[in-house]
Amino acid sequence: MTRNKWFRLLGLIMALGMLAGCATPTPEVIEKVVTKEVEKVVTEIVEVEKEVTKIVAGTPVVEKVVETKVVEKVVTATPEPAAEPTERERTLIMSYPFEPSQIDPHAYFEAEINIPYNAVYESLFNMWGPDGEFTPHLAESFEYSDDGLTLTFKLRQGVKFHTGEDFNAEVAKWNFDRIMGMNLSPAGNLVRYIDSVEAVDDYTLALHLQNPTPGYHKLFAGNWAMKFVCPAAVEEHKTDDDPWAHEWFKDHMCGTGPYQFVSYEHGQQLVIEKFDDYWGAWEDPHFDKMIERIIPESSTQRMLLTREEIDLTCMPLELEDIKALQQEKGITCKSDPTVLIFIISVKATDAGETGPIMSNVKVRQALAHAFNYDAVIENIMGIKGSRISDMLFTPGMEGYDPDHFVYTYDMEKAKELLAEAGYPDGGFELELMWLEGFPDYPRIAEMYQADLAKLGITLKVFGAPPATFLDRIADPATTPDLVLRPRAPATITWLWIEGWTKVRFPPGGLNEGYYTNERFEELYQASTKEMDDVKREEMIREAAAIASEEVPVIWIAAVNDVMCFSDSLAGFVHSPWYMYTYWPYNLYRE
Amino acid sequence: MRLQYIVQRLMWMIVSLIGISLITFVVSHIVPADPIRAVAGMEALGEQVEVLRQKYGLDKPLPEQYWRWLVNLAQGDLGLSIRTGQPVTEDLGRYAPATAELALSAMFLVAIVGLPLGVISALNKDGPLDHLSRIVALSGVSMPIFWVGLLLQIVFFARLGVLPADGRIDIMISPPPRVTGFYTLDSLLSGDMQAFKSVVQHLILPAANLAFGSLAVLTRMVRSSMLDVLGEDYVRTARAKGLKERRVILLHALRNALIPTTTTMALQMGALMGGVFLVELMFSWPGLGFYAMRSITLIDFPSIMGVAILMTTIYAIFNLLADLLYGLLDPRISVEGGAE
Repeated sequence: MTRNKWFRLLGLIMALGMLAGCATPTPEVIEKVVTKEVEKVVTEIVEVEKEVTKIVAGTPVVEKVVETKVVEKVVTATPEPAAEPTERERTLIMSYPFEPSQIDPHAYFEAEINIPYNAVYESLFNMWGPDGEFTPHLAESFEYSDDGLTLTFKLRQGVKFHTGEDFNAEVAKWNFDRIMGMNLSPAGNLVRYIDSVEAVDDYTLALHLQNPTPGYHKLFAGNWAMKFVCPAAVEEHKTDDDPWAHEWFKDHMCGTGPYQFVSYEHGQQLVIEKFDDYWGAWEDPHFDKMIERIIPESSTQRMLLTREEIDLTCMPLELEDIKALQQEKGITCKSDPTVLIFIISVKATDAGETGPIMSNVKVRQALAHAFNYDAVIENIMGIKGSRISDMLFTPGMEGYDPDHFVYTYDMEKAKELLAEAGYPDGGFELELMWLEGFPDYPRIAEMYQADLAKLGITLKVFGAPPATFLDRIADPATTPDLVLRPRAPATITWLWIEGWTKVRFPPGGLNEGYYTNERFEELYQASTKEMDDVKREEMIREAAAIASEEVPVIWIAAVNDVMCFSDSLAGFVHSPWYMYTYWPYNLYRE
Repeated sequence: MRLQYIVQRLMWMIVSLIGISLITFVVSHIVPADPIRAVAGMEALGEQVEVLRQKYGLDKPLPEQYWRWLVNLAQGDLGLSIRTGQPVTEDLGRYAPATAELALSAMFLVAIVGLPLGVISALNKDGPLDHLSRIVALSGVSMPIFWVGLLLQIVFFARLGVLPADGRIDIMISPPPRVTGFYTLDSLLSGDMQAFKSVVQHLILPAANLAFGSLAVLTRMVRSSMLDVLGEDYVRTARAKGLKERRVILLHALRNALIPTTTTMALQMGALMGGVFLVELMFSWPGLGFYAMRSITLIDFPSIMGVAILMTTIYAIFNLLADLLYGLLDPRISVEGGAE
């Protein structure tokens, strides 16, 4: 190459470099260290007049003399007032990876909006706190009638909606009417049990139940508890075709919470700001504004958190990104237990090609022993999971025993059980379907596949989006042998064990293994009517013991909420009953 | 004649759209799925699911569903999205401008970088610039688009901090009032220069990511065409007449070299629209790709078909424009086909 050509190449490279350098940088958060002088020494020249006695011709004479002196003085600076926090400092920016389909709390509840949800909307009771204690919130107390057919709430006074109207019994009743009138998913647990709703007086609300329903009050606390929307907003935006203003509420919010809705840019962000008339008051430090950003990629969220463009990632990132963030200064990744669990539903019906195999309880027990629980948590889930005992309860529920382990990873035991079942060398093929949307599932499935292969069982694994998943489990003949998915428990224990009864066969439920047992069904039915807590707990424990023996489910892990955040944040209140969120009202920046 | 040609092409475009819609309908319905139940909630009661199924017309036989969809399409109605419950046309109107802004920005980058680079490469055949453009071209066609996106984010955001990693506008700046849905235009129309500057900064990385592959193809195409044309007799004649080299290159050579390039650019639009889905996910860009990914996950039939129809229409229009541009660039070419 000639010299001229080399110079031209060099010139081009320099020009490209200058072009890149001329790009206007995006504003960067710069940490400045400012040294303030509180006290300092000041040097001053002063003139002092004094009298001096001199001897002039033997006679003392007093003269006034001016003397110049250099004097050092200590001066204390007037303390400067603390700088006002900037708008950015007063704003919490959080990320979620998915956009909710809609945000009407009376239609369909989606976890992709948990912090804003719990900031704008409130329920009758709360379960915030590390042990998930049941505490009053919009309701101050509850009481059952002697016959168990009426549940009465005393409502809190002084609560206002964001539209300015008061929250009272009439408005609360109207909210029940709205949910049941719209008759979408959240209505299920109301229409099945409630006969009618009555506003007894301004602040007393009565639910007349179809049957005595023990523990029904617990449905009004937790992540999926009923929320209250502004009637004035419905009145303003309703139409003849849409009397409940569902269309407006699909992308707007209006409730009684500490924060009120500002805007929702689809696919981008949802903004809420402080509601000045919140009944909980604003004495402690709080954020003025919260912005939820929708950022699908885990790696992008990690980069943004590192550069302080967001403050908090709300749903667990990929494990590699969590590990990288744990090494970063100024960032913490905190793991908190939740009641959400990962399970494998095990087919327990004799329908379908593998029915005769899967309906054999020894085979199901063998499958439970062939799952490597500790390896899954250690190598795949990391801090996102923790071991769960194999009762029919989850951490946080009444009756949960953390030391109840019947099914441990034991390949010898699994082989023994298969031999007893008549399959000493395996020799059959099973299907495992996982619900898409959870990055750990393919690896968990592959690990299980490798273990089952050692027993001579061929496991075909595949993922399915929700629509396909629901289609497959709709028929006992087509439901897969093993279904890997999350399971979120109910706040009422008998409602939780209902999940393994005929009532919850798909469609209409998620007992996709089609498990049923006569004694289990009897115990479930009895527990739904038993108002005595001790007797009810005995029934549920007996049911749990039957389920443990018959393995309709393999209990993989309790899911931990892993949220990564800037160290400038404080006020974290987490509850196992609320996923992907801290209590927003308590959060602040130090 | 040209008008007749355009009308004919539009008629054939309608036939293509019907074909595409039928294929999309069949494929999306072949997948065993129950999107209604997925949207209603996993534990929704049977009656609640049936109410929703009737609302979306999914309780009707498949041929009737398709016929109703076609009839509605003729009236500009793409049905209701099962996921959002909104009219699909409204959803597309909400998300499409972001994709259009991104795609047009990428095409602009492709044109202003690819054309000159291709010309310079041809003029400096086997020189250092030619080798450089070859490296760029090879990188563009061999590096996966999501990998390039990640690299751009790491270099320009995480390491250098000179450009934002994602989004359409700075989080602390309010989006401009919506007029066109193009944040660049809307911010200029509202006189918000702070927003305009932020929007342009946010456009650079995703547009560059999207443009990279097409840029590579276009550069090589222009280079190849230019080399062919530069060897032609009329170029030699133009030089012999004493015309300035710049005039020879731009007026005589490039204009003819652009003819095959035009087809390439029209086809690259299709490739761009395909790549836009991944780029939007990487850069949290709230466009059609973002919308379509969620719709596909939930097997939201009406949304999937709406996006397919829209993308097909855009691609067909660009192809038509390319053919018309052919005739403009070379008056010898008649749009009916063949040289006159």
